[in-house]
Amino acid sequence: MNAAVPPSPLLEARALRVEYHAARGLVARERVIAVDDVGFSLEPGETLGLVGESGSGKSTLARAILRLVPVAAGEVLWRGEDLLRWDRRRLRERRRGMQIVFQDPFASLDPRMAVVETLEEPLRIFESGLGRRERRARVLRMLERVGLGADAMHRYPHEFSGGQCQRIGIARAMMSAPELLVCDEPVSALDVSIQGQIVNLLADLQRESRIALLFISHNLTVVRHLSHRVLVMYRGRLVETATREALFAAPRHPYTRALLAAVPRVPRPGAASADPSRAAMPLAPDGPAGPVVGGCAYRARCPFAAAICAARTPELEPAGPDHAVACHRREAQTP
Amino acid sequence: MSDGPILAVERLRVAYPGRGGSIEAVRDVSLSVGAGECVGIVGESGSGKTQLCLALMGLLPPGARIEGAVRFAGAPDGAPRAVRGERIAMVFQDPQTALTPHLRIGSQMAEVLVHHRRVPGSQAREAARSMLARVGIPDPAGCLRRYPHELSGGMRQRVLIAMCLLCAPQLLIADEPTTALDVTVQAQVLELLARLRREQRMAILLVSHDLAVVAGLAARIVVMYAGRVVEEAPADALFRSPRHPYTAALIACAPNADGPIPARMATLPGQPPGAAERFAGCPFVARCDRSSDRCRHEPPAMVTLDDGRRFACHEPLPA
Ligand SMILES: Nc1ncnc2c1ncn2[C@@H]1O[C@H](COP(=O)(O)OP(=O)(O)OP(=O)(O)O)[C@@H](O)[C@H]1O
Ligand SMILES: Nc1ncnc2c1ncn2[C@@H]1O[C@H](COP(=O)(O)OP(=O)(O)OP(=O)(O)O)[C@@H](O)[C@H]1O
Ligand code: SF4
Ligand code: SF4
Ligand SMILES: [Mg+2]
Ligand SMILES: [Mg+2]
Repeated sequence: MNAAVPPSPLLEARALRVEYHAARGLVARERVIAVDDVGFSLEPGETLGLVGESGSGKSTLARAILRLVPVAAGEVLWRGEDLLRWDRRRLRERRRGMQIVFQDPFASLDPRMAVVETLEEPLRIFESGLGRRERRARVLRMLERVGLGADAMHRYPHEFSGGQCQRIGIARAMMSAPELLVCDEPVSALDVSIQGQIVNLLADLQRESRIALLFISHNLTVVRHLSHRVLVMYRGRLVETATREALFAAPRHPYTRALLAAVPRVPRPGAASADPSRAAMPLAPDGPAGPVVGGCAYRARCPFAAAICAARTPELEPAGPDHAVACHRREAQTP
Repeated sequence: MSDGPILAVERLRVAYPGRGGSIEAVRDVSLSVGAGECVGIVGESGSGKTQLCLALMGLLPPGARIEGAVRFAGAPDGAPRAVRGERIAMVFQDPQTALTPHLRIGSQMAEVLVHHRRVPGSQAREAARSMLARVGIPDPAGCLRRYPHELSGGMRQRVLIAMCLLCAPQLLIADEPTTALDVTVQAQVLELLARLRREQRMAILLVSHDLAVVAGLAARIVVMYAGRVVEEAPADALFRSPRHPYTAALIACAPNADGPIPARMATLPGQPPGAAERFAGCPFVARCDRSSDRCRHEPPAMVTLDDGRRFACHEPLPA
């Protein structure tokens, strides 16, 4: 992907490809390439933001690197070892170090388990030496850190609001003190104050224990706040990768630019006009009717599309220091 | 605009029996929505927004105790759920649980039309396909053949929105409808909702944590805290000069999309009272920088002003 990758990152994905076989007819299945030729690396203590179109394969990529969905091609290296080759036992041992907060907080919690059981489970598995009181104390501390109180302990998932479930999911993932935390839309169901609290908590954890974060979000403001580098996905492929500074100051891919332009703004007290956000909402042009095969997947929406864009799929190519873009006409996109 | 609100909620309470006393999910909410109007609801996580919506739909779980009144102009109080289902539609916060797992998207969507509108099957499928295209699904025909688990989070969310819009409801209740959408698709969906509001006078009750989204669509905004309405105002007035300290804090916490990146994100210290907690005075008192002794003992009454603003605070911010 780029030349500056240091010798052994915590996690590295190479030419990853994930396919699903989705329902088509009664029995017929159609092949969906959800992730195609994706590579990136992640250092300890680093936050990698992952943004992109809805349905572009972000959740699939996150699941693939944790072996929660089968990988069709490519490698995933954990401290240099291909984790796709680990056997069951190995995987189980190492799972502790890699945790995920799922996109759907309701569906990812066990409805029959009270919160305290959910949070104690990782401790029982990974720190079986702990006494009951110490376990409780840790659960309580974690609940407080995610902004929930002791009265949450003995309640069940269905008794919580969306944002509360999401925080329980975050607390559960953090109970096992992972080295890598994958967060799939972790703050979308939270009010801005708790969102800030969670983002600050992630930053604190990172400072305390050099945890690496893969942070998937449609909230570009939060991604900008938290990430060191950012990956942009569109229809299963990376279309741009850059440092935070470069991505937000000088985006090069037309999709990234459309994305940044569409971020709605909060009107500020004292501001003259109430609603600059409405004016700033461009209508996304309609996508193609069917799946795109070959060429640049963005071409139906792209104002710069040319003949070559239908003929060849653009590859990621350097566009500056630690900055790469997959666009045939990247020279036309000078910042 | 019209003869009266299409939806009127009066002193609604929702409670559940709990271990040490009842859990008050919604403590006291009154609000109204006119035909063709979009009202936004914002507020802290756990403040009762979803419970309020479910109560409006008549979809609360069995243990819930409900007090107060809900009037819907299209269907009298206590009307059978089918009547409501046709005229009021709700986009749920968790699309996963709102779709039937073993049915293809096409069958689920078509069924809504066949059932409520007696539209023939083939026509219903075509209507479903075109609605999916309008919410920005790139391959709508392919999507109809899929099962819910075969879609991404944002695709499921759009399927639900499309399904709700199929019946042309008079009132759309949308609980965090765009959380899983990228901002370009979000803009497209919000634009569609705005158009239906304008052209078909569809009323919208929009719940969202994204203040910018609410600001973009809603003309009026209701702010909730600890199961109550603490402030209501026209959208521009609310952002220009919030009167309730919680509203001001909420707006102050919203991160900036541009400009310098602060070392830490702004937060509101402390926690809201739990749903099981009782309090004598103002629910916000422990976190409020304007609080006085009075706030601890005396619940602030709702003050309604001439310009349609209302707030419940002993020491409101100056206008
Ligand atoms: N189990 C599955 N079977 C078939 N197709 C699937 C399955 N899961 C996901 N897909 C498809 O794979 C693609 C990528 O989905 P994914 O959930 O990874 O997207 P995403 O980027 O996380 O989107 P969102 O932002 O909406 O959550 C989508 O086209 C989706 O329909
Ligand atoms: N079935 C239930 N039994 C007991 N308490 C419940 C139940 N459902 C919800 N609650 C409680 O009611 C309160 C309000 O929940 P609600 O889901 O309405 O919040 P919300 O405002 O939608 O929050 P969010 O923004 O996080 O979605 C919460 O404190 C929640 O824990
Ligand atoms: S490759 Fe062509 S179609 Fe694709 S983004 Fe670049 S200019 Fe647009
Ligand atoms: S009533 Fe008192 S405590 Fe409550 S918001 Fe107003 S000033 Fe603050
Ligand atoms: Mg996803
Ligand atoms: Mg909710």
